[in-house]
Amino acid sequence: MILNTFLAFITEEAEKGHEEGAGWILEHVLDHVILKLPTVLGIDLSITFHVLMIWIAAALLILVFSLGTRKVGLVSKGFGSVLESLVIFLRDDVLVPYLGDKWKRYAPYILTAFFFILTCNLLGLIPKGGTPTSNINVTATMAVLTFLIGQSAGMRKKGFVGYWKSFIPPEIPAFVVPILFFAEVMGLFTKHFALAIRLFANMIADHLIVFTFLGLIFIFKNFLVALFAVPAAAAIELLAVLIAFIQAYIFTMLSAVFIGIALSEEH
Amino acid sequence: MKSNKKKWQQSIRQIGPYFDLGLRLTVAMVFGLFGGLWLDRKIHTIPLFLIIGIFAGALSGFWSIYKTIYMKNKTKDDRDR
Repeated sequence: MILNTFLAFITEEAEKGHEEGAGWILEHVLDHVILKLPTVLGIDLSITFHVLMIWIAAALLILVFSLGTRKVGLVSKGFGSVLESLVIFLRDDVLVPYLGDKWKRYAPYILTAFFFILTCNLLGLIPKGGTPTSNINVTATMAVLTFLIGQSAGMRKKGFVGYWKSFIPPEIPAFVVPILFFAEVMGLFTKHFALAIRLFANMIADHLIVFTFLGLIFIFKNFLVALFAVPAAAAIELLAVLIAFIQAYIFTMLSAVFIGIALSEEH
Repeated sequence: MKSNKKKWQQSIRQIGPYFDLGLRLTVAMVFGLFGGLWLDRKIHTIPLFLIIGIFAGALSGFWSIYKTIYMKNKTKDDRDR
């Protein structure tokens, strides 16, 4: 509801901005239909700009990894060594510390999530590109995947009843149990919800800040403002490169933490 | 240099579970608020579930923060002993 109002506001601003010449920056975060397809079973199958960008990201990843890993061996050469160093960094800093011995089972998802989010984030930084991760539907889908993998992992390890039992800490008075159970189940949903919101908000924020800085020129109607606004916008774009990496890392780290919590004996 | 890098990696690793404490509390309350509002609109009881939702969200958020900090320290203390 708030989101719809917010998005309607941005769309309106973008249309206004387009007339004034600053709306182009919002092309990176606003979605629009590029190929109209019929609605099947209540689901609109139209291809939007962000869907296209997701396909581009996926194709890029398949291409880069199939070409990059050709020379991977005991000692990798060329681009393969760059990919290998990233994978090893994730293995040592995310997978093994949070998932323990079972890290190999969850490595494909965690690594795919990292590289996919990173590619999506970086696609938004090239001209005429778009950031699929600035669409709440994309980040929510990723969070739902983390949720489903975490729950199935926990239930597989502890059994269906045992998994729900592990929500309640031992040595707790009986009258607190329903309240705690409720708080735990609610917390389970909210932490994955926060996961989706964080990535979405961070990715939409940097474009909005750049838009705001450039918009200042048009608000003040004075080109001298550009002396301040353009360097500031450029600095924010540089920061956005850093944010792209950090957010991809944070998402994968928290995914690993949540899956690790579901696997641990007590929550 | 090497040990500095190790220290940095170690702190990144330790920060993990605490990383989203702030956002978790906020999101839990907002989640409760909108959940309550949705339920209220469905069964026309505004503002009953709205208020319950906010408090439930706050409870859930505080509990998850307490648990993360207290339980983690407890297991660490047990290990140290």
